[in-house]
Amino acid sequence: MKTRPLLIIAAFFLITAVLAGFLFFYGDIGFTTSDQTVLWQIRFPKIIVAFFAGGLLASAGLLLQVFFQNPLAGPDLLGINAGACLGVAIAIMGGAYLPSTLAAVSLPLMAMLGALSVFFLLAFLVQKNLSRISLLILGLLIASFTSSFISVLVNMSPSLQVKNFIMWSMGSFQGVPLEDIPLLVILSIAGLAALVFLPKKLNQFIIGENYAKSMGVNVASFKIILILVCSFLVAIVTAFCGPVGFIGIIAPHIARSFIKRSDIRWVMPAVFLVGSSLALFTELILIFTNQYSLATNSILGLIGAPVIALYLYKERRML
Amino acid sequence: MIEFQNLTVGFNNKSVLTDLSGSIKPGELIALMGINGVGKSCFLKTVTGLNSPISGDLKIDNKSFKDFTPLEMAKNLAVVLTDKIQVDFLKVEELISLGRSPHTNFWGDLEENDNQALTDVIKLLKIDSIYDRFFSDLSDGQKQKVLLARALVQGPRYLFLDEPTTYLDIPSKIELMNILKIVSHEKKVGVLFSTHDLDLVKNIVDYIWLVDSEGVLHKKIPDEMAWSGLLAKNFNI
Repeated sequence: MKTRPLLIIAAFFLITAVLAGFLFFYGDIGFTTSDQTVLWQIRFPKIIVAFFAGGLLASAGLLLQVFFQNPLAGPDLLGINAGACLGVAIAIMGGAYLPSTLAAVSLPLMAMLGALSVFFLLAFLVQKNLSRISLLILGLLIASFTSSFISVLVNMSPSLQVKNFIMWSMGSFQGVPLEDIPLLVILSIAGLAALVFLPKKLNQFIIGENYAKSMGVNVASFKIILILVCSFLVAIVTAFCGPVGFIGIIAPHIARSFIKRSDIRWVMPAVFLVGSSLALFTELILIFTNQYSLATNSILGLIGAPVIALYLYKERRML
Repeated sequence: MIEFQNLTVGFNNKSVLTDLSGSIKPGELIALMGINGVGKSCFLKTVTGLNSPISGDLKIDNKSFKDFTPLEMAKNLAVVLTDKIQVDFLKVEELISLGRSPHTNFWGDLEENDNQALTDVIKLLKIDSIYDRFFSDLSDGQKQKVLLARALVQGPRYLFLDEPTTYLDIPSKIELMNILKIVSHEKKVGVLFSTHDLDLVKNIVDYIWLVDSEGVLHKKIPDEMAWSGLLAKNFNI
């Protein structure tokens, strides 16, 4: 019976398309169909960014949940987000203390650098057979280390730069100018292309490392591939949008509870589309609450935390 | 034939059992016995290639385990482990089909011979009534049959099971034994499983392998094993 997963994926696609279409014609200034500048310079980039960023974060969350066999794993958890944050904090606030060549490096590059250094550390440790639980704890340690480092930087920096950093750290799908969109799209499609080769092995991996190994998966190298792909996805999003929380954790749950299959070949596209819809949906809320200028992350937190709590309650026997 | 000679098994470089030798031929049904903690699981994980041996030879048809790719190993050996499978919305159909994954393309598409293998195993284990259900909703006996089905569709020449009868009621235990007998004697698969149910296995298996409390591996047919007094000595019967 393949009809249900197909129907659900089609439904998620429709929701994503409707949200994207609506956001294209409706914005802070109400309905517009004629003002080409607003449509293509402001709304179009925002929609593209939200579509890819949400989808990639959600996919990264799915990979992490399979990798850790833990339904509460998310991109924030491994410290990859934290690494990217530290990179950006150094770029924004440490600029005055660094040689001018380094300071000139743009935010996306520093975010990528931060995320990459964390993921090389993780890949190294996975190769040394560090257990999954230790890896999660290490992620928390990296996060607390980087946040301490960042607070030191905050104390030493002029208030304007601190404000810039805080704004960035709130996360936003709106900050990417039209001329950066092609780069985002190319990187995202590269990430998606990597995802296409994973479902079969993820399916084998999902029932346990030993079973995966007994079915011919080279577990050690597959784990490294998972970490590399995952970090790449998170780094792309964080570089362009700042640290965006919750989508990575909740999208896999929402998608699975509708699709009612574990087969990653069905789950993955559904998860991507749910992530995209969630990101587009927060943009919609931002429009309706524009007089308060809320942050993307606070809206996602308000949606995400109850969803996770609900999941914990529903699955209380299993955890 | 799987052969092991002067094999030392263990984990983290600590030896658990040393100097093990023996062989498993296609069509043989062997019960591995021994008190808890003596190293049965460790031994099973090593002869299935899941763990590397600390030292000694381990071969399939005179070719060392090390010279097989993971995929070639998967086509020779299949396992039923005690590892818990806790996956949301995992359908029995999905779990069993995974057994075909060593034979499918990068996307995991099932071809005609894959579907044929699935049909055969479903018929053998009589599990068509639970084929469309969620794995997490099944009873222990049904779960064990599904895990066995996943291993069988892999089309192995050798099958290893770690304590497959432990949580089962008596009828399920007997049913499972009969299936293993068919698999080994009729389908000519070499089957080795660890168990504590002496009464259950003694009239069915070809050999009992007993790891005694000193870590020595004894291999005898069930009658000889009973006469030797080894079982009484090691199980306080």
